[in-house]
Amino acid sequence: MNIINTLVIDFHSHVGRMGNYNVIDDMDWYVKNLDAAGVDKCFVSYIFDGKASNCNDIVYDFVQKNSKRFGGFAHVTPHYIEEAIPELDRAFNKLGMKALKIYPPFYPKPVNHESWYPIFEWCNANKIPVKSHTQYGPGGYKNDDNGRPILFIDLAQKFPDINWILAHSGNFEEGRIESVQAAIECPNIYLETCSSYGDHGTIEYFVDKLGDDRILYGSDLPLIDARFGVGRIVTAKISEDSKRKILGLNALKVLNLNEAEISI
Amino acid sequence: MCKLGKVDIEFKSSVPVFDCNVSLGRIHTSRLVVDSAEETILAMDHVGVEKALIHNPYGVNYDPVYGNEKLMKSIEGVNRFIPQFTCNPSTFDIHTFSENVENNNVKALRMEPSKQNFPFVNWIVGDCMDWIVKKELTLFIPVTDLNPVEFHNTMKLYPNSKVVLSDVHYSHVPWAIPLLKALPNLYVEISKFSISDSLIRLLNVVGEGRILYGSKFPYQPMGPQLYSLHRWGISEASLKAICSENLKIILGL
Repeated sequence: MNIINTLVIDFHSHVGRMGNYNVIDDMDWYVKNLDAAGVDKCFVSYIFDGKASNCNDIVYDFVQKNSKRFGGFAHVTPHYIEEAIPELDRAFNKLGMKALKIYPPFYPKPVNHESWYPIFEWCNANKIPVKSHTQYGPGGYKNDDNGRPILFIDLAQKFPDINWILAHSGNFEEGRIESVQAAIECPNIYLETCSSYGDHGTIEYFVDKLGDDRILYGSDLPLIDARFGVGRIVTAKISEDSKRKILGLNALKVLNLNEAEISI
Repeated sequence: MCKLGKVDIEFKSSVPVFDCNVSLGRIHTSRLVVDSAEETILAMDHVGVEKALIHNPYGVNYDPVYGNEKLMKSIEGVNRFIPQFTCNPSTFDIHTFSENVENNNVKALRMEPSKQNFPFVNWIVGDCMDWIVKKELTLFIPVTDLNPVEFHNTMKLYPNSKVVLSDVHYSHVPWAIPLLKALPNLYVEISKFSISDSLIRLLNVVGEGRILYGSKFPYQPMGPQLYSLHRWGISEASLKAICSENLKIILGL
């Protein structure tokens, strides 16, 4: 046992009720979960309402209840591109969101299709990090290929002032290989760790191939408990320094925050 | 800076651990990170797993007889490995299989009905279930490999059987939790059950006596669920029960 104090930032969590999984949207419950896992700050998003402004209002209201422990990621969709730019302006300049969360499988064209460009042009001009769901490999779902990791090489080169975060790092083995390839080719691509499919050795593979500066801890709370997510990092065979970076120090850089802003 | 972030970066289990869901051996569809007994033991030692219930994937994917032979060869001389035989009640010869089970002192069986291409219905598994109950063996079935209606209808006929539902994921919550409530002789393996409040949900539904730690190694690491279990604030007795004692009891070890 070696208990250390280190900054822990959860880069991938959700809010909003998910009654089908018997998950409720209760602030006290979230805080207890973060405390048990040792998480200092948790960035949340909501992506399941067809009207993006409703998603962002839900996130904003949740974060306002406890802004020391939670931060918000915005969501917009190219389905309603005419609403996307005004909503981005509202989300980042009025609601104080810290990054954009997108979900390519919700849209029928690949994430590097030009119909997404107005959103990415705005983020590039405003240096907003973009976190995207990524999944590629057998056993996936409809439209997964629209967010396969390899597509982000094109985007990272076209929009170089965006830090691109590949949520789940592709999830399956094929997706993880593509994620690492994309991150090796593009210095503005980051890998995020939450997954229901992380084989033994996944975290070690990322660190071995990419180094430890562009890997970010995420839990997928409340679908995956924060204790389990932290456990994936701390029980990996990597150095203490790497664990500290992945658990929180890298997230500070991506979000352009300092530790004082995270203090609780 | 004030922070909560207390994490254990050199975690090892504080209680004995008997992992009930470990696969050992290559598969034909991908290169595994770990495919040997030696590397499996290294992974066990890394987080403090004492024993593991082991099956061979070939037994599930193609042929139980050859798979079980491969299993016994791969764990020969390793007393930390406990064999789990794969069986296919739709095609096997129950007398030969029974002899093999007894000769190798096997206490745990595995069926993966979808992969093995049979439905878990009484007119296929009935004789096998009668034999399993008679011999007091424990049967493991992944949740991903069964039809819940067929499974429930069949299991109701065998109230004295010991069956473990493995690989339960958050996507199975809407029916797996009611299934566990409905069948008091059904145990749950938690390698993939990491939904928020996962342990509390299970403790409320089945109690600590029916929860078994498993990792699904090498398709998942052994550490995360074990680390998580140590952070629920449960008693050491409960932790021991979930990590090893429950499995020992149902296997009769």
